[in-house]
Amino acid sequence: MAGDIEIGSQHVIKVENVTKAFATGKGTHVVLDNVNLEINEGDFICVVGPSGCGKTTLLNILGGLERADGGTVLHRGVPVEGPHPSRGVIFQQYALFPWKTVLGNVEFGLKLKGIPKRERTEIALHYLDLVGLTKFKDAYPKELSGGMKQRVAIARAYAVDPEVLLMDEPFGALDAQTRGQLQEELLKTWEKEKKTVFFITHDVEEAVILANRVIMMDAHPGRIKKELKVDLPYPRNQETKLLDSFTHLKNEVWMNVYRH
Amino acid sequence: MRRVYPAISIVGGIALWWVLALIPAFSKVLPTPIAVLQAVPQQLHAGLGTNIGMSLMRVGIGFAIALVLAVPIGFLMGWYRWAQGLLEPWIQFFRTVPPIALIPMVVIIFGIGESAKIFVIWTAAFLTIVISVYQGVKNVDTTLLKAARVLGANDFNLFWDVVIPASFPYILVGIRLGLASAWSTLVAAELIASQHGLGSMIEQAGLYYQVSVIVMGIFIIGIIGFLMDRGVLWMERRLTRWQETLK
Repeated sequence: MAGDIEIGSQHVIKVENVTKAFATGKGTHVVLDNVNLEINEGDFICVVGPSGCGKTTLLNILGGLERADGGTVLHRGVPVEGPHPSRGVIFQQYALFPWKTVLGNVEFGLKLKGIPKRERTEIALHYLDLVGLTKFKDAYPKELSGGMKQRVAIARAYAVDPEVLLMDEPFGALDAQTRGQLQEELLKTWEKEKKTVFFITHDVEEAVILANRVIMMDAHPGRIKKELKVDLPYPRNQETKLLDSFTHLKNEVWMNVYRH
Repeated sequence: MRRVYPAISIVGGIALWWVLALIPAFSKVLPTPIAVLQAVPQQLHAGLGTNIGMSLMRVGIGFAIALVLAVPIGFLMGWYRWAQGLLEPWIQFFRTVPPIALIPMVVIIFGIGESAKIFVIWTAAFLTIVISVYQGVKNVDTTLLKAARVLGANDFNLFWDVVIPASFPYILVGIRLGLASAWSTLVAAELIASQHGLGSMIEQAGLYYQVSVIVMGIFIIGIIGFLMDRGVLWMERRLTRWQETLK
């Protein structure tokens, strides 16, 4: 298992000269300034940057939830013009439908795809099993803890079988212990399902433990400052954080992002 | 334990009323609880059942028409900018006018028949419900809409699978408030030269100085209003069990 995760070189997503600005009272505020990025198949990219660097805006543009003012985003060569189930998004606030049960939430995307009832229950249960929540399939979101809610959101995103997962600080609202747990689970799932992940965080440690590529961003205007390859061995877990090489990488990212 | 204080309050209130009614200075204007109870069988002979029935029918019809129109219009206003722009000024304006103030105009337009009373009740309920539904749609969490869109929802799915269930608690609040305002506008509506109904019963009792009948009428209106409110609350709790509640 260790080290033999294959990371292809084919672009899944190509970001070319993406620019985004908002008009404010004092003029225009440039959120993203000429951003270029190639996301390859199987990549686990973590984007780290101070607030105001436009990382969430970039994620929304990749997901088709916002339009860029200039430049293009290509997904397998096709311009991104709106949201599509092939690009799953996971939000920090979980965004579960409170009136649906856990199973109903996971089934929702499958229902939209027109998959028949029995089959979608089967698929949904498979992904609930993957995140360890089979027992809670009939519970409503209000009965779940934050960590469990985010697991349901992850299962819901996986269920529609997206090619890319876009995650917007998904563990930001969780306590340290739960965050560590979910990081490990996400790594395991990623090693198994080989999905391409684009993950935003402000937590340097989280970026280094999860990513094979860390993208560091700068604010005002938001732009990509530097990229770092993370060559830590797989499978990674909390013990990986004890390695000297982990500490080195972490320090390097931290110096780049938060020191000026 | 939490039922003790309300019980004390009710029993104490009635006792206080009774004592006051026995004081000569008040006894002319305030009947005793016994006198009010005695008015019930006497009024049953004089058509209390018909009065209650007529009132319930007017409120029922006015409220039902209000609900059927207010829900789609509220959705329209919450979902489409143009609908909000066109309708909101009028709705906000008429909301500030007490329905009673409309009565003379309503009589001129509709005459003094049933339709006049139903129209006034309708106005009260409609304005209340439409605002609630509109607020509900406006308050739908945009992250939920985004989450649905990235899962492949089109505009129809967004509306049907997200906006409607998400604003459902607001619709129920609208029903509750709308029913309450319909019921409380009833007396005003029945002042329009009405022969039957709880409002006109009170009105006529006032003319003949039958204070016990007036007080009985007030109690019946209050009890029916209370029961309707409890009924909607009960329904609300059953239908929106998924909602986060404040602890």
